[in-house]
Amino acid sequence: MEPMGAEDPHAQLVRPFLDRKRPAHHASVEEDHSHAAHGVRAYAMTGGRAHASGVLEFETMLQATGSGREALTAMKFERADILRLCQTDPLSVAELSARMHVPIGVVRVVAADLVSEGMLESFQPSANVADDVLLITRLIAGVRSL
Amino acid sequence: MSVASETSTRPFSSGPIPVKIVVAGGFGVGKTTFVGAISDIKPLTTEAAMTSVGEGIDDRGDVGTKTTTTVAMDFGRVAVDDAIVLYLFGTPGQDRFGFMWNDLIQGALGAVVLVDSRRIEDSFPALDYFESRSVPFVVAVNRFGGQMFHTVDEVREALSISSHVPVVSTDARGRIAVKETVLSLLDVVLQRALAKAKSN
Repeated sequence: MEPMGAEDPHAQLVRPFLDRKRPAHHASVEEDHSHAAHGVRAYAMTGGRAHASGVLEFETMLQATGSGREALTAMKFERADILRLCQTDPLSVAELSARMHVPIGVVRVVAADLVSEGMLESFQPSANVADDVLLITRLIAGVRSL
Repeated sequence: MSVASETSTRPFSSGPIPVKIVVAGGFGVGKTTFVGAISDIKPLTTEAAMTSVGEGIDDRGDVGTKTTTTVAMDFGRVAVDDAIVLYLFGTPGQDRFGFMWNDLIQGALGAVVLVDSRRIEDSFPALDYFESRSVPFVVAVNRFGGQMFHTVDEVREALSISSHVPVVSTDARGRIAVKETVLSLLDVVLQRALAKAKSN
């Protein structure tokens, strides 16, 4: 075993557990979800795309814009559901996925389209949020006073 | 709430700032309980379809088989102040789901690795993942409402964790204990950000 902090990050990658052969059946509740939500419709809905052009994170919050609210009545299915759910308060991609019972990847794709069409406004912190000393300090103060 | 004008429907003056931390660990270690202890909402469940490479896990014989698995994630949300919204995602700790973490960890501030001291090996995949990606994390030994089967030092040694990674004891059922655990992670995140700012 190499000491911690060796040059190659992958040198540390395998703990003894990972070397062991996994049992053929290691059923768990978490795995039991694996057969849920394999609908054909979800795939058809995104036109077969797995990735949207503008990537929305799981925590990206979305809110319908004025034109999104106006267009709502003409929308169908998931596009309408998304706009309706975040009509007043912003909701995250993950929350939309949970409330709509639609896999998160589908929400990401459909919502990204709505964002690019100007129907949704998206809120997400900058990519280097972990370097943002001011924001982290503010977060710590906020969590401390919860 | 009768003033439902266009402007009053937005609670955030300049838009919300969502941030995310990940709560990882083996099955049954208390991830959802941990998230629920601090969340403003009852934890929600979302499903993510993840493509992973078989790599012999399923013994299919053909190396590199791509399989799509749907895994469930429980998450909660905390309004931290008038803009910051903290999301906590509890993720399955099985190594075969490691691939979903790439999506999940994108933009995350860091991770709490929950450990059941009776089954510490369940946390190995999560530790390996976060260490290899340099994701800030703390190890939190869930004492399940009082019982500690091993000391924090014993757990640190058994996990062979670097000395700069905090190992704390927590109670996933207790709001205060969970808050303290989150704060210990945020402190690591802050120290790292400060060190980086200094070196630039």
